[in-house]
Amino acid sequence: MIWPIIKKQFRLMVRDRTNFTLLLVMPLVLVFIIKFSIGDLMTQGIPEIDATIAIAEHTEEEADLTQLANEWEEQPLPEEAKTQLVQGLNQFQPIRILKEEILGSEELQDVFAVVDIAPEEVEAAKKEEKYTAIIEVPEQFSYQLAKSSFLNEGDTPQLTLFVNKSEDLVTEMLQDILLVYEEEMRTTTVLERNGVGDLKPSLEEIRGDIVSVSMVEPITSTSYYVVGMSVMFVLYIASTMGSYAYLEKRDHVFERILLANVSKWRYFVGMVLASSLLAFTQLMILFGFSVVVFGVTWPNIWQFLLIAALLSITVGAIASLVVSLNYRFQSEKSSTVFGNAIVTVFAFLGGSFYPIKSDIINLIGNFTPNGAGMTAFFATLQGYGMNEIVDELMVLGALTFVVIIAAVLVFPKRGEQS
Amino acid sequence: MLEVMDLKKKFKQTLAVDGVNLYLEQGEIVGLLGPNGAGKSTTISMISSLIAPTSGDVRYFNESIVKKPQKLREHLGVVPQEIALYENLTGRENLQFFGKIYKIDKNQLAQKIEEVLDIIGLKEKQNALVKTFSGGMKRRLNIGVALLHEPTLIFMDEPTVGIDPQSRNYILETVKRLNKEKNITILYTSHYMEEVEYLCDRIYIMDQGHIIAAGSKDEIKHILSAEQTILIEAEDIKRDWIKLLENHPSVNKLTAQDKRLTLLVPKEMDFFQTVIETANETNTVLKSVQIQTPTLEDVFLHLTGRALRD
Repeated sequence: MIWPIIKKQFRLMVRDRTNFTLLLVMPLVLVFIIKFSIGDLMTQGIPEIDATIAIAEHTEEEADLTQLANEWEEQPLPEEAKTQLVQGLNQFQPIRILKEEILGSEELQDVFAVVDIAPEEVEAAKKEEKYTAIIEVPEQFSYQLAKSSFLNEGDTPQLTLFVNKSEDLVTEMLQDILLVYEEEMRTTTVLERNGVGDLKPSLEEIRGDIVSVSMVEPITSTSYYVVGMSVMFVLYIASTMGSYAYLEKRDHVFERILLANVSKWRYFVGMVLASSLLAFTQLMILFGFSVVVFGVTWPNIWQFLLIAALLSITVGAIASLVVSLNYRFQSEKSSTVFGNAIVTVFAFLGGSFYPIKSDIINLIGNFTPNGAGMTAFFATLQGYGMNEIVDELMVLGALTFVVIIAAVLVFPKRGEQS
Repeated sequence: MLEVMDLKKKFKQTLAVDGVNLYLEQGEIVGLLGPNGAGKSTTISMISSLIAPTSGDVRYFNESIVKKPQKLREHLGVVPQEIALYENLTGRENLQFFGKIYKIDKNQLAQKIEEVLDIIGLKEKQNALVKTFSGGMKRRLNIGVALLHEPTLIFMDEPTVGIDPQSRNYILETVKRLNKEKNITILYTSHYMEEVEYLCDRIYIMDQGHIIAAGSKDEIKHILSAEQTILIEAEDIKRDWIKLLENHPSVNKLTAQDKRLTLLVPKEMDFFQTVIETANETNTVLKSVQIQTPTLEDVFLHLTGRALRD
């Protein structure tokens, strides 16, 4: 009884060229346009940034380390311990590691250009905002850091970071890199002291921490807009289904369905299921196409399918409300208002057009179906597990429940003018 | 078979149907006539269980269908005035969809569809999208959908509106055939009096929510047994002349359309003289004057004061 209604809706949708274009072609075309007009913000997790970092050393690393080695030689320590300390010290070159192996690494060298400047030039460079950032290495930095790390003596020295305020993303990245760098230098030295570990922090460790510390999400602009456009355009299923249902009502086809002893609630359930399945199909086509054409792949396919399914059911619920409103007011206006205004507002709040920076809008956006879906999809794209998307799934579930109840209440009862 | 008792429907402040009583016997074709806004469609919607009446009852084989419409619906086919079809589905897909929601068995459905396509003469166009159909073909499919589940009772609400004469004849013949061959009871509403005269055994005339006349064709016509219809054609119909005729004590009804006048006057009276005299008075040039026995249209005019298509 319900299956013929679903099958019929699919047939009608496929044969409706205008809506077919709107629901499937338009989002993909928009992703193409955006991709080629703004390009990728992030590539392989690293932002495409052209920043120049100046490093001003108030010390000489080699001299610092030689001084420490000499001091240790004079210490009343067993020969074996002295040899171990000096060997460790030979690998311990924190400034060189920062300059050559971290900022100058293969992965980051396209992002940061590193230049050495004399300490006297620092003030002028700050005033002129000549560099994206300036890292000042204090006097006896390597000496102090080695002492603190190997013998746990004295305070851990700090690098000073000066950043040009217009470069928010670079600032966050550098802060995170330096934070992790200092931490890693200290802890790996301790491990080395105890005979475990490698003396230099790996870039993977730093990058991993950047993601969690600064929340800079490694999502390409293509992925962003594939998700953004898909969750936005899936909402049009609701307005389209509302319009179809209104036509059924206007042309008395709905009455024919009722006369076949199909209760209006079966019809209602049929519309919810048909809308949900259409929404799910639309999402699968859009995301499937994006895998092939844009290379947007999903690390956890089951989690991705769960979000898509839940979002589709929410769209089905919204469709039922639009249908009910159209029936109640005997016009297609609810579909028009939803399709022309509400989808746009939801898309803005949910961040489909561009990432939202306002916390308040973000909060509101997360209560829209597309916003909640988008956040859950992004978390999945980044490799987060179910625990991280529980809130969004609950929002979708709650929205579905509330909207369906509203739709049931609004749907005209027999005998009412409908 | 079906009995409608004191049916009323009120929409806010408007009483659309006010105490309608009618009945249908098995195997007959009954006409329901009335001008626009008479309450025919609301009455049909209530009888077919689509809207609940404000008061009154509808009984199908002595069982009220107001609260339990399922039994009636199983045996009822409705052909709405509108083309209640999916334009973006083919003729066959429409029949398949409605057949499935009528829970017709898959194998049986294929056979039923073939039968229906034969009856409505759309076998060759069954795989074309309905939106490519002519008005007449859409009307025929509109009827076909109502026949799929083999109803014993069909309500047809103006099934021939806006189609060419050839399609109209085809539909009328189909209705007649369905009634004769399958003994289907039909309630037929139309604006075309000649259709009702051709098809129906009994007639109800409705106006302003009431049944104002009921009976067989002859019984209805008998209402005007004491009157005659005079049809006049003139070069130009002048207002003064209409006024003179309207004020004449023997004229019961008068309608003017283009260059024609229709008068209802007492049968025994020789009204020719009056027509000629008043025409001369107002310088009207007469082209023809005819006397007719009353038609249903005349009865309708007599009862409602309006032509059927007003």
